[in-house]
Amino acid sequence: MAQSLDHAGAATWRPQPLDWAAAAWRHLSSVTTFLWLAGLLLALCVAGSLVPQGLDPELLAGRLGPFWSGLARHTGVSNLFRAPWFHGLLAAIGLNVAACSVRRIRSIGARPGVFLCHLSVLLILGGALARLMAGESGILQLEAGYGSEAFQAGPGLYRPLPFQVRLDSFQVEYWRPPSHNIRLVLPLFGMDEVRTVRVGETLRLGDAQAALQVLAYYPNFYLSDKGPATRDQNPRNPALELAYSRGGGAGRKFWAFARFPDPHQGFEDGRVLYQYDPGTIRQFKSEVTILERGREALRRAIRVNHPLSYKGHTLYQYGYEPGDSGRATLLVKRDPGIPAVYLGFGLLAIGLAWNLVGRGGAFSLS
Amino acid sequence: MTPNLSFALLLGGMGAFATGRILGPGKDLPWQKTGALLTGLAWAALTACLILRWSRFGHAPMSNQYESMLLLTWCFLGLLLLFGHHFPVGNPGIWTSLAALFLLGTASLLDRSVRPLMPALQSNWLILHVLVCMAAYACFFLSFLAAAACLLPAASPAKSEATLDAFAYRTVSLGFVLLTLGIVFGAVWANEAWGTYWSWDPKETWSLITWLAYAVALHLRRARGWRGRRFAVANAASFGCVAFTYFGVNYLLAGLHAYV
Repeated sequence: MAQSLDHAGAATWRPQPLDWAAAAWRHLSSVTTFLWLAGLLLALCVAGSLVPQGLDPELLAGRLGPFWSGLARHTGVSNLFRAPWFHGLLAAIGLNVAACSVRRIRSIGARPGVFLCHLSVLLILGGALARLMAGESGILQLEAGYGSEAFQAGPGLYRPLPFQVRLDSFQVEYWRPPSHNIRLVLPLFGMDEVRTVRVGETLRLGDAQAALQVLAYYPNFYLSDKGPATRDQNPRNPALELAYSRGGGAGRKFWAFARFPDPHQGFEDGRVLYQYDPGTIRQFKSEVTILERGREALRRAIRVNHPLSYKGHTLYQYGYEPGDSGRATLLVKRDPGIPAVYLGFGLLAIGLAWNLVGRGGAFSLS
Repeated sequence: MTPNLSFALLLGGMGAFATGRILGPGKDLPWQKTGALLTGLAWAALTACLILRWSRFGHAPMSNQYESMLLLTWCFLGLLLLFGHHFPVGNPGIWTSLAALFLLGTASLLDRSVRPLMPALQSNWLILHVLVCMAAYACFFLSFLAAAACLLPAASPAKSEATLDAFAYRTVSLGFVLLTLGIVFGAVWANEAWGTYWSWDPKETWSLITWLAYAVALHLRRARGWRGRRFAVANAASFGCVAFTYFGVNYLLAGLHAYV
């Protein structure tokens, strides 16, 4: 501070720029600032976890009601984690951590674990910033036998790949495959049992006195102008066309719908309830070939937890079209911040362990 | 094999601790030793249960809430065996046995059925991530019990408050390291499975909230000298975040991470 005399001759202190800078530095590098920033981040995370994120205003209003959804939108909580000011808060925490470390650098010898922890936090935040600024993400929808040199990064937005990806084949592996289960209730034959059936199969019932034929399967049934049809192979509205006959007579056709079980649906001797079991999926496997200038560079199977990394891009198994084994969707990611983040993870583990067993730690070995 | 044997042994252990408490100092030692022995046998029985479940169903018993609660109880009992004799309040066995019985009892209310692992869970990271997180939660639970004893006047005579506080701080410190490792393992796994190490889903967000809460508590202790009851309050509040992360998120908040 600089001293001067006022009009009455009394000494006054006028703050100088350096004083402001020193005060700002003290605040920036104080633990109290960290506690306030961490508390604010904590409270915002609680709010962000309770409010559905990124929903359209109408959907949000439907979930929370008009008042709370309006409040969430106006305060920015409804899209908190993508908000620039939220990223600014994370940056402020990074600055605070850095400043705290610089201010206390002389004690690094006494508490190296603490500095390592702080450095690791900075690396992780820096890696996240690199992802935000320079990362790429998108999807590749491929059909078996076809390839692509670009991925879709957004609606109508395509980004090139430095190579071509061709889908050779796509498979869904099952723990238990999909099946059609029919519950047959036939008092005439004293039957009430569930059978697993296949299309084209004929069930002999009541000591072969009667028969139930499974004529056809429609995965996504609808009534077209030309009669019963299926929109696609996705089992959204599974239906079976069945025929029941007794005593060798002509079969009577009828329908059974998995999503609309009708206990009265049936025929003169009983009724049928149809349950479609989609099975239990074990794994998705996309066999892909990476091509560069038309030449095969790599062949690999991509599965969940087994992505493929090539030239800075990583391809993940992302989606598929149920009922259509010829299509697969891959997720494409490029994250230049990963090395910094992973280094930060490693240093954080070392730093915390050092804190724990080092001098003054809770389990100090010295 | 169900954990019923472990439950019965813990019940017996609690009975032994209670008998020792009733008989008072001088006559309680054999009962305390019996209680500790039964607690150790309960841990061994639970170990066998987990191993049998693993070998029978072909994957680590960590894929749903029931299995994770068994694992949590296993970690809690293991910690008790390692550090329980340092618990400074005389004869804590009643309360720690009760806590373990509470965990096992809650687990028994959950769905025990085993389903084949979905594609996202087919990874060795499942074992690392879940095991370390459950170990962290067990540390925090034990620390919470110490904090509760510190805050309850009848349970903590003045001379033991300092040692209770030290015990709580040590277990929180260990838990914090384990929680950090658990979050790191989870992030690496998420990057392998879903292409992003952090997606702000409710489970991840609440793990961060828990981590921040304990980071604040530890900074308040180290930098602001919070000890005794003040640290116990911070500890207990942070444990509330653990409880919500473990239970609340699964049942109240939907997300990619909810395995119930």
